[in-house]
Amino acid sequence: MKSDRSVVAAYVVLTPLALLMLVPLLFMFTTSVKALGDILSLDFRWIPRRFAWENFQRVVEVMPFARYLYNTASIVVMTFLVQSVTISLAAYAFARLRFPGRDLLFFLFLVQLMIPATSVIIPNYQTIRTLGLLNTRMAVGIVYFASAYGTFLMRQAFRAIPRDLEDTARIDGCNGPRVIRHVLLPLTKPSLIAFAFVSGTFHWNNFFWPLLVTDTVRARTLTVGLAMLTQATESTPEITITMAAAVMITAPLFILFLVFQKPFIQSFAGAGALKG
Amino acid sequence: MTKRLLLLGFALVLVVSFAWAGGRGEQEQTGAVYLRFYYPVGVAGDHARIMEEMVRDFNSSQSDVIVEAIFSGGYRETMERAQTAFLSGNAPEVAVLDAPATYDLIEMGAITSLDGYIESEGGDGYISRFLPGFMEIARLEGQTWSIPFQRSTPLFYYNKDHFRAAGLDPDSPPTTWAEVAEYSRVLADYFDGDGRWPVQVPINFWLLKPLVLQAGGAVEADDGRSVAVDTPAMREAFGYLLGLVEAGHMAPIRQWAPSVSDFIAGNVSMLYNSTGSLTHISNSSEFEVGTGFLPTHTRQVVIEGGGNFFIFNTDERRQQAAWKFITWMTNAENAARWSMRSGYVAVTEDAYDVPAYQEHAQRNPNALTAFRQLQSVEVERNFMTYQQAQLAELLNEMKEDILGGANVDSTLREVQASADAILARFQR
Amino acid sequence: MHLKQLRPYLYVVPAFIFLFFFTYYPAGFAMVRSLFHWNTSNIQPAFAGLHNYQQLLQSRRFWQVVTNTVIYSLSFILVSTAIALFLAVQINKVKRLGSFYKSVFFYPTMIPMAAAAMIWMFMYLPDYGLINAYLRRLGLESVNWLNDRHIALFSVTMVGIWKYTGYYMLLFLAGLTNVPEELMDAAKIEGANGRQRLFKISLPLISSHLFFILIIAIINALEAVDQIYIMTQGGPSNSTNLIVYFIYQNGFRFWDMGTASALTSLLIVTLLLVVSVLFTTLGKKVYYEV
Repeated sequence: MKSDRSVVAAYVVLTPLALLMLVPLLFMFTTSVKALGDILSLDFRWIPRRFAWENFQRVVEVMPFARYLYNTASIVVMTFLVQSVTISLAAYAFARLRFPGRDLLFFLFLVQLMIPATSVIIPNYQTIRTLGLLNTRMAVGIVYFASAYGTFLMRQAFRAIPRDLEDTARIDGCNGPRVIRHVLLPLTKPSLIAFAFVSGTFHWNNFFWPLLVTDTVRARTLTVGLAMLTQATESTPEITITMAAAVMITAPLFILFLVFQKPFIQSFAGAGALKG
Repeated sequence: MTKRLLLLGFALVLVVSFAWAGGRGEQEQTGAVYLRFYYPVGVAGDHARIMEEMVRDFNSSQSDVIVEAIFSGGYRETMERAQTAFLSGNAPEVAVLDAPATYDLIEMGAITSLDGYIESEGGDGYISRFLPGFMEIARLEGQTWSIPFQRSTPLFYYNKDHFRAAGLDPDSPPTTWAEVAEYSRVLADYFDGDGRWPVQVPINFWLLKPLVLQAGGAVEADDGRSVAVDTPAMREAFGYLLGLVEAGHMAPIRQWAPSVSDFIAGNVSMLYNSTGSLTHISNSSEFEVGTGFLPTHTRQVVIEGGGNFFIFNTDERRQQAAWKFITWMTNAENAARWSMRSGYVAVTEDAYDVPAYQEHAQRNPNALTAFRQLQSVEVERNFMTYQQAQLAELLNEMKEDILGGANVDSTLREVQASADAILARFQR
Repeated sequence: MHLKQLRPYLYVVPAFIFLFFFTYYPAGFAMVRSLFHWNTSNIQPAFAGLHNYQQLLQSRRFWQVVTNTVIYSLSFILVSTAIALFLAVQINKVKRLGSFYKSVFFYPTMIPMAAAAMIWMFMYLPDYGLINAYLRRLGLESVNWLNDRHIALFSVTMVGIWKYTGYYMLLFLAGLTNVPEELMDAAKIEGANGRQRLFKISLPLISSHLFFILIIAIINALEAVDQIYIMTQGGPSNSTNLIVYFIYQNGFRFWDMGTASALTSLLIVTLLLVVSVLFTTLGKKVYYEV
């Protein structure tokens, strides 16, 4: 039993904090439908005097939104597909097979968690250049094709599955990759989906690396396109248009989140399973 | 089962190859020369649209050259991208870049000298079309490296409505530092502490160098190999700015873009800014906008700024094609067109004779202020050195430091030492 | 026979190839290239010994960046994990609306940092920003959030805290829900108060979560760059320049790849050092459930 007083206290503390937390989101929405004149006033108002829906029209005019959306989506999908292959193979080896150097290799995988891609932008840029991949969507994704996080996640999931199931399949003549594909993966679907949520969110939101390796509309992602709207030098960034663009690039993932709140949250919380 | 695996593999290959193909577009299918053209603009809005429109017109005007216009962010970002692309063996053929980067571009061997091409168009006869103040920055060490395109100068903007209300003459903006201080006092009295500011000189080194020149000093050596910040003229320039801040007439630190918004919103009466902001400011302001020459001190001088066309070292065929594109973009009609639509100063004298431009100037008398300023006061070139980006950053920081309240003497000393260290490898 | 022994490795090879080329090799590459002059005057790298490091150690900006990064990291890690733990404990108490609160605190994870940085940048605007508007309504002085060098780093840190706290909260919650309720009840009967129950029972039981969150927070802190690029570009007066932005600035903006490589090496060594020190000290004390 929990004391009522402390529960009430929890509500009293959480509610204002939750509202505070929502301020930036509401600010983005309201600013995105304000007219510029409404912004440039010393008095802030939450409800615009006039709803300037044309801001969204303007975004589409000044930025190839559809192309950026396509680029971003294909990077997200491609990266996840490749990752799901690399991580389930590696996870299988670490969960089921015995071989010399396994622990060392596993430790080497762990190192990736400590050297995030953002810290090695300089050498990775050179590698991408050498591979002739500059300004491609491949360049954005390839650095993330192996995922230590995903490998651990799948390894945990595989370990939780009784070996008997595999042995039966093996007697039926299935080899390793087939066992993974037809026995283990179907049983660990929730883990793979959880990883898809985490990986997808990361790559949808990724900014700095795509900014560095993309040069033209053909490869730029949504976040990069958003940043280009505000690189003002001799003029002013238009606050309202920028916020309208921010709404647009955030919306696809955000709507997905609103619809699938539970699985999203469980997937991210699943990172806590990354112990030992 | 195998079939589904195969299908999965096939889908994978497809996705991967799509992504791979991301960067490679239509390359010279038609036998025409294909050029990648990097260009910067302030905000992606109208400037980018006008630029793409002009490039499209160029492409349809002839069939030898196809130009792809690639919007690359602001000046800083475009320079960064062009430079990095060049060093990665992937340079654009042609670009509009911040002209002060010329020393660095030469040092890297990135750009080609344009004298041969200029000769083929008639040499001096061709080049004398360009306003002389703008050609100075294009010539270094006896050669011409770039062609002026989206040029600007600092310009003084003021809110005529505020002037009227405060009892100042709306048709005579301040012409000296002392007058700026005086007008500020009048405006401050009128505002009476309601949160509005009389004047703003945004943090940007481009607006500090003219002050130093006006105080009779210099910042960098002509050969771009040394910089002097610990000088009496620099102190005098800061004396002017700090005077405004200490009197409560200027907010100490405002970045470029917010200061323009402040002016448009009527929260700042007098603004140091660029001619490049003219269109945006005139279109967005609900009051009468006045423009004037930069207020002076002991010397009547202003600097220029903005972007020039550069041709990267590729091969003769591409360079020739790039030259063709540049001459088209800077012919009288197009120079006038770009100036009218963007607000930049028209770069050639013949542009001002284009009928459409004259009409435009009649409707927007402010458009000519910059032109008159260029003709009536001395014009010096923009801040131009080796490692320009790094030094410009350093000097911006210096301005932020000092206006933010740091000790002037020690800051100038430290900045001088840092600048010397950055330029050490360029000493002959 | 031989082939069969090799088979386990084949499973690891695909992932390992990418790990090698984009994690280990770059680390080595940065260390090697940090020993070269590699800039606009030396397009072909020229051996320089430790000169790049020497230059860095002597430069004021480098030490500013180190100081900024340390201040940012410490305040970010402490504040965000503390708030996250607090929120998790509170949410763990409530029965209704629990999932609503979770979503509300967690949603910033779904917003790209690039967009979040812009939202905050506009909220921070000196004259028409949301925050100053409310300060003025309360009769307080406006604050120049992003342009005052004594405040800008704080303002930037706020964005990081807002963005990541919800995620850490979720990780704490995952741990707290594993704490058996009977244990808590027993403690309560024994007379333990709320704070004692938290520090004596819950925290030790979720110590492995705490440890893991700490590591993530350290990495999130050290790799912070998006908001710097968008909001302040390292300014004013270099006061918000953090290590990754400094690397980018040197490498791409000033085109001094040698110095950028030296900085990269220093960052990698720091990351590995900090994490392995944590593992060998705290990591051993962590309570594992399984």
